[in-house]
Amino acid sequence: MSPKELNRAPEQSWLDAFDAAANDLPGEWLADTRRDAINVFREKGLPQRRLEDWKYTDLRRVLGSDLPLAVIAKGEGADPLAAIKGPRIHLTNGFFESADAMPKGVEVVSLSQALVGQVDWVRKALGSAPRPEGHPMLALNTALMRDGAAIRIVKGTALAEPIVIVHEGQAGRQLVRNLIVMEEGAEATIIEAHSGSTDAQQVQQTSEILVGDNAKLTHIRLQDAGASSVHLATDLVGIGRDALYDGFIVTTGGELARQESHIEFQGEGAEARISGTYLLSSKQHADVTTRINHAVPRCTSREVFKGVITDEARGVFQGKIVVAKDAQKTDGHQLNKTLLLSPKAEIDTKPELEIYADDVKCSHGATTGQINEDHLFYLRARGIDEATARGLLIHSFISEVMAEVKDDAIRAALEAHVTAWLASHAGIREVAA
Amino acid sequence: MAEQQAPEVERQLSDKYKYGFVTDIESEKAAKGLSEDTVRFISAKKSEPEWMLEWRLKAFRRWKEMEEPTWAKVHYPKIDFQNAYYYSEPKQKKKLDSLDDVDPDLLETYKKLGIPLQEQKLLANVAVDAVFDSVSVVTTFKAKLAESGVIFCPISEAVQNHPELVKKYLGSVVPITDNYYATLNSAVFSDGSFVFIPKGVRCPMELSTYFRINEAETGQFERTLIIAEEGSYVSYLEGCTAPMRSEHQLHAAVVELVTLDDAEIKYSTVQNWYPGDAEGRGGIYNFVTKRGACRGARSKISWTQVETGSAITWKYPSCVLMGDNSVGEFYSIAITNNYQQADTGTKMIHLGKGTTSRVIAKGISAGKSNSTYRGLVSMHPKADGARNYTQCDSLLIGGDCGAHTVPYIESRNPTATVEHEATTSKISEDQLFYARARGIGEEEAVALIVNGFVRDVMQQLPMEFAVEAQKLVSISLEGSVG
Amino acid sequence: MLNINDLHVRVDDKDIINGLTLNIGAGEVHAIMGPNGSGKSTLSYTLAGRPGYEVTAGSVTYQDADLLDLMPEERVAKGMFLALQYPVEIPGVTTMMFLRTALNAQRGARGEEELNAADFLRLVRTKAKELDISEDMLKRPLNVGFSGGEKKRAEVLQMSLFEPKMAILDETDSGLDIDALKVVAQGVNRLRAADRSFLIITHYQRLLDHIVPDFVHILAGGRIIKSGGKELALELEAKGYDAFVKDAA
Repeated sequence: MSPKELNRAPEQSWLDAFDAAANDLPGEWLADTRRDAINVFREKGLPQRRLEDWKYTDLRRVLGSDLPLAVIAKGEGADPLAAIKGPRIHLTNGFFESADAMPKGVEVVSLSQALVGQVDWVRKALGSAPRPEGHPMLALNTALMRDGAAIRIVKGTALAEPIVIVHEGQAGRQLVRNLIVMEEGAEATIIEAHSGSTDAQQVQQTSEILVGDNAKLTHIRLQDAGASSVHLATDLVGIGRDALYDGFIVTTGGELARQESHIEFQGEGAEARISGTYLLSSKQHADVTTRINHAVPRCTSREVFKGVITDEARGVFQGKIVVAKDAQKTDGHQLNKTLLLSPKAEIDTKPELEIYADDVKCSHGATTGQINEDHLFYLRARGIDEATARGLLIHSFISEVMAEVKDDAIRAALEAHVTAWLASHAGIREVAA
Repeated sequence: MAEQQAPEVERQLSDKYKYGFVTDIESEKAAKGLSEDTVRFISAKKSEPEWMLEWRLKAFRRWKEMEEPTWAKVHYPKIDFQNAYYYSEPKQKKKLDSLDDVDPDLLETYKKLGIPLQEQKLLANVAVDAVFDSVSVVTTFKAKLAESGVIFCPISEAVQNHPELVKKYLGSVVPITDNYYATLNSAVFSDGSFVFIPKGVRCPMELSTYFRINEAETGQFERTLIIAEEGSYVSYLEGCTAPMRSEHQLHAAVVELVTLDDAEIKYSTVQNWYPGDAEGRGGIYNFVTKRGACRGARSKISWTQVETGSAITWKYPSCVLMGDNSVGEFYSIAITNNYQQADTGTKMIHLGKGTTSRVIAKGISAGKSNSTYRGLVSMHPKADGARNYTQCDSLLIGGDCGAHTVPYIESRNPTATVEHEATTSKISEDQLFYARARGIGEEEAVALIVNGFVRDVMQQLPMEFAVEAQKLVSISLEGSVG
Repeated sequence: MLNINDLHVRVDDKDIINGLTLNIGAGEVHAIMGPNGSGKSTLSYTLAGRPGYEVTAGSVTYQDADLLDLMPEERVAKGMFLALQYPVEIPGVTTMMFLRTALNAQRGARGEEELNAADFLRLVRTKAKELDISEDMLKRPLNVGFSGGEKKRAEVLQMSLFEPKMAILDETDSGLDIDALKVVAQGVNRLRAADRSFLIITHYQRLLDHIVPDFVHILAGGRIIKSGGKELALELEAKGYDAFVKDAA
C-alpha cells in the first residue's frame, strides 16, 4: 500500500490546521517554503511502523487526535534547573515570552519577530542546518513553525555562564523552531529545560544548530514534559572544522517522546559527543534516535546512552553512525545500555554502523538486562541490604553516563533530577556519594 | 541441450572460480514462466499426492498477492519471474537405485567439483545427496544409514515414502506465508534433502547435500527438512556451486530444522555460488530462508556458514528457541569482493526459559562490494533468564567497499540479558608489514590475516569443510589488494 | 654485503635520517647505538621497506642490488631479516602456521621447493627447543598474549628458521630480563657465520656484553657521529651520549 492510499484521517487535522493558520504564520517570505513543506508532509503522512526509522515508534496513533494549535500564554515560573546560574530565555507554550539581559557577544531574538523583521543572520541561518531528506515531521515543523528562540554567539566570544532556555508547555500543539548559531571560535553552553502541565500537548521542536569552525558548544537538554505530552525534539547539527558539539540529554517526561539528533561533520578534525539517559515509568514511551554523519575525514564521535525502565514503559534507542566514502581516519564509538526493572518493561535497541571508508575505527556495543546478580551478591555479602545494594548499583549504572557532563554544577543539577526520579519511580533511596 | 555460455563470459573464464564450467547434458524443463500450470507440472513430474499439490497451490496463490521485500541493503534490477525456468532435470534412463545407473557425465561433474559419488571413493563418514538443478541425482550410503533408522533421501522421495512426517513438519517452521521468496519456494520447490534422525540416534556419519545449478535461466528452489527426534544428533553440510554465466540466476531455498528434547542439529554451509565477474556481470541471487525450531527442552541448533559466493546474498539462518534451556548458535563468515552484495545475519527468538544464543559474525568487504550484518535478538516475556551474546566484526579492504551492521535487540523480559558488540576496521598496516617483512607477499599476507580474523568461526566447521573453506577465503580475496 | 650511502629519510614530513653512511661486510657484526629519537628504528624500518618511510636522498645497496627498489617481501627472499622492537600480534593466526607460510613464501620466491609438513615440523621443533620455546607457544596465535621475552624469542626463532644473510635486530634487548637476554644472545651467537652479517640496534651497552660486535657506531640526529671497535660501547656507557653528541656538534 503506498502512502497515498492510506487512510488520511490522522493527518487531516494537521493539514486543516495549516490551511486555517497559513495566512497568520510569521514571515511572508517563507510562504512558499511552508507550502512545499506541507506538501511533503501530505505526501509522506505521519510516520508509522512500516517505515524503518519508525519501526518502534508509531506517531499515527498519538498525533492523529484533534488538538488545537497552542495559544500565547503567560508562564507560571517553571525552572526545573533553577540551581544552574545563567541568563534565561522563557518559551511558554512554544512562544518566546522573555529573555534576560545577555552578555556581550550574544544576540537573542524571538524567531517570529525575526521572521517578520529583517534579521539577516536569522534569514541566512534558517534552513541551512544539515537535515535528512523527506522527513515528514521536519516538514510539518517547517510548515507550521510559529516561534522559538534564535541565539547567535558572535565570532570569538567565550561565555562564562550557560544560557538556559526554559520551555514551559501548557496545552495544545506547539510548533517551535530554534536557531543556535555559533560563529567561528565561539564557546558556549546552552541548556534547555522542558517541563509542563498535565494537559494534553503535542510539542514539536526543531533546533537548527550551526557550530562554526573552531567553535565549542555544550548543549544540554532536560526533557521533563507533562505526563500527557507527546514531545518530539529534533536537533539538526552541523559541525565545522576543528569544532566540538557536546550534547547531553536527560529524558524523563512525556507520554510519548522522541529525541532525534542528526549530526553532520562539515569540516575535518571536529568532534561530536552525544550522550544521555532515559528514565521511564508507568506507560511512557521514549525514543532516542541519533544519526551521526561522518561526511568528511578525521572526525571523532562518541555516544553513550543509558536507560532505566520500569513499570510498563518502553524505551527505544536507534543510533546510527554513517561514514561516507573517503571519510578516512574516522573514529566513531557508540554504547547503549539499558536496565529493565519490571516484568512488563521493554527496550528495543538498534545500534547501526554504515561504513563506506576503510581507514576507520568504529564500534558499537549494546546491552540489556537487569542488575548484575554477581555484583548484587557481592554487596550483600559485604553486609549491605538488598534494597540499598540495588539502589547503589542503579546509581552507579547511571552515574557512569552522567560523568559525560563535564561541568560540575550542571552535572549536580541533572543528578539531583535523576536521584529524585529514582526515588519516586524506582523506590530507590538517595545513596550518599 | 544445455545452453552454451555467452561468449563474453567465456573470455573471462579464469581459474578464479574453478566451478564455473557447464555440464553438457540433456535436460527436460518446464515451460518458461510461472503460473499455476508450472506448479501443477512440477507436482505431476514428482507424481505427488493431491495434498502436496494443494499445499503448493495455496502458496502460489498467496505469492501472487505478495510484494518483493525491499528492506535489505541490496540493489538489483527487478526480477522478471516470468522469464525463467522453474524446473529442469537432467534426462536419465530411469529411476536410480544404484550409482551404476547415474549418467557418467553427472558423475564426472561431481568429480570435477571435488565430490566423488562412488561410495568406495567417498570420505568414509560423509553421506552425500547430490542435487543437480531441480532433482536429486543420487544419495549415497542410504542403506547404511537405514540400519540405524536414519532417513536421508531426496524430499521428493520422502513425500512418497514418509508422507506422515512430511505432512507433520513441512512448513511448520517456515510457514508458506512466511516471506516472498519462501512462499515462492513453497509453490515451486523441486527437490532437496530430507533427513529424519529417530529418537536416541546419533547419526553415524556426516550428511551432506551438494547443490549444483547447471541449466541456464533456471531458478533453483530446493527445500530441505531435517528432523531430530528426542536425544538425537546430526551434523549436516551443504555446498553450492554454479556455472559462470552473464545473466543472473535465482536461488530461493527454504531450510527447516526441528529439534525435539535434547536433540542437536549442526548445520554447516559453504556457499560458493558463482559470484559474478569482476565487473559485476552475472552471478546467483541467493535469497534463502533458513530457520530452525528448538521445540524440545535442552535442544540445540547450530548454524555455521561461510558465504563467499553469489552476486547477492539475502539470508538469515535463524533459531526459534521454544524449548526451555534450548540453545541457538550462529557462526558466520561473509566475504564479498568486486560487486558482490551480502545482507546476512540471524534471528534469535527466545521464547523459552533459560534459552541461550550466541552469534559470531565476521564480515570482510573488498573491491566495490557491500556487506551487511542484519540480526535480531528478541527476548519474549516468558524467556526468564535467557541470554544472548553477539559479536560482529567487519573488516574493510580498500576504500571502495562498504561494511554495515544493523542489529535489532528487543527485550521484554528484565531477567534476560543481551550483549552485543560490533567493530569495523581495516586490515592493520602493522600486521600487513610484519607479514611482508617475513617474506610473505601482500596478497598472501591479506589472506593470512583474514583467515586469522575468521578463525573463531572456521573452527566451528567440520574438518572436511574447514580446509576447503580456508582456501575459499584466499581465492575470494584475489585481486583485492594492490 | 650492505652499503648505505648518504641516506636521508623522511617520516610524516619530518626528516629523521640525515646523511647516514654505513658499510657492512660479509660476516661482520655491527652495532648501532643511539639515544631515543636518534633515528634507530627509522633506519631499521627503512631497510626493511616499511611503507611511509620516504627516502629523499642517498642509496642502499644490498648484495649488488638496489635495496630500495625491492618490496619488503623481496628483501626477505634475498636474505634480509628484521627482528622488530615491537613484534606485531596477529589474532587467529597460529605461530606455527605463520612460520610455515613465511618460510615457504621465501623458499618459493627463491625457486626452492616448499617444505612438507613433517620436515617443517621437525625443523621448527629443533630450533624452538634451542630457544626454550614451548610447543604450546607455537600453537598460540602469533605474539598474542606473549610476554615481552616470549615475543623476542619468537623473533629470534624466526631468524634462525629463515637463516638470513643480513640480520637487523632492532632493540631486541628492550624489555628483557638478564636470563631472557642470555637466551636471545645465545640464539644470535649460534647464527654467527662467515657469510652472515648482523646489524644490532640498541640503546644500551649490556646486550653487547653477550653479542660482541666487530664495529660500534654512535647514531645521533640521524647520522653516525662516531665509529670504533667494541671498546667504543664501553666508553659510551661510561661517558653517556651527551658527551659524544657535544663533541660531534
